[in-house]
Amino acid sequence: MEDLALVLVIAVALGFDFVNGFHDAANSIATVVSTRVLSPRQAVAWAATFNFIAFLVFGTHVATTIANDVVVQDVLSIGVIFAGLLGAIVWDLITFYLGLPTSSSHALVGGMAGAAVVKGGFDVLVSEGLQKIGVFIILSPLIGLAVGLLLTVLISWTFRRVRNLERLNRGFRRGQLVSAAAFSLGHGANDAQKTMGIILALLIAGGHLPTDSDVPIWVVLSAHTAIGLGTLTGGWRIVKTMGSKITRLQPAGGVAAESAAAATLFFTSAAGIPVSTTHTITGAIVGVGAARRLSAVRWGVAGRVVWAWVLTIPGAFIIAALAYWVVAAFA
Amino acid sequence: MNDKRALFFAVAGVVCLLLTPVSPDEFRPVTFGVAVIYGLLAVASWLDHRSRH
Repeated sequence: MEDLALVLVIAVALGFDFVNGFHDAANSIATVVSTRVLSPRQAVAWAATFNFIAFLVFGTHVATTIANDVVVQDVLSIGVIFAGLLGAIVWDLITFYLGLPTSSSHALVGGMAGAAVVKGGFDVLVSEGLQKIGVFIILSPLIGLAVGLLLTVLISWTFRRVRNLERLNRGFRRGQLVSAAAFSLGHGANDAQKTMGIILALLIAGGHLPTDSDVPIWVVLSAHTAIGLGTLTGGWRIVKTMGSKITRLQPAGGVAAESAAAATLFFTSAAGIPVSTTHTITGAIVGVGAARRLSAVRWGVAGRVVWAWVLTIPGAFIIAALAYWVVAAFA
Repeated sequence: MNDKRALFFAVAGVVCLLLTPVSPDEFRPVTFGVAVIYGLLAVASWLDHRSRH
């Protein structure tokens, strides 16, 4: 019976990864679609491919953080993880319906924390891990913004004497294929690892793996497959907000934004920090816009995005807490 | 300071500076480094604004 519950919750975790992929699909493709480098169908296939192969490039440090550094391992059970996932999935679906690009990653952290706190009180929270995650909630978009702005200035300076703008734009359109691929690699690496961390925690909680275990290869492959399929399925409600409502992008701007976000994700994935790919690419796009002038950024839209971020962890926390009360009542 | 972009960068730098003491030890150089970058961007933006007006 417990093995059946374990398999079901692993399926739910992979379902979360899938939802993450299609919820965040717009992050990977919005800039490349808004500059008309690829058609929407081509763009999702391109992004999904690089989401999947990211496992060949990055380690599993983010997965380890999720499994060990959000709540103490002793409190983790199949019921806690299931309720945490449910909180994150429901929050993701609510914001997806409302067309807001919130963070699946922070929904997951909020969900796990909410379910765990109901079971074991606030003492079960791992303060060092949550501190690291909390600092980078603010830092990752700021890093993306700064790098996006600096890259835009560098590009403008480097090509300031070029007269043939049509040829220059053609070059940057091709460059966007590389930068979009790099961003999708970073997205796949950081986000798929969160699901790997959840499944690792499940296997440890169920006694199938020792506490210091590495992530099994079947977990790595299944998580990357799920996120790739989610991206391939795609999601269009958010694409308008990300690509054009925040600021208008030319191909050079798209290259700068995606490269900045990719660099930030590569660093955080290597350092084992689960961050929001949504925050990061939004910060990078804002940085590209701010390089022209601050008024080029549509702050009203950016403000709506910030409010959604602020509400994500508490929202997922509450939904997961309610879910765990129900789970515990039937267990 | 009537350059809003410089003000935005200055505020971002202050936020990063405030995050530095609460960051985990291994990431304090990163947080502090980002604060320095925003400080430099604030100064550069203000100088740019001043040269145009």
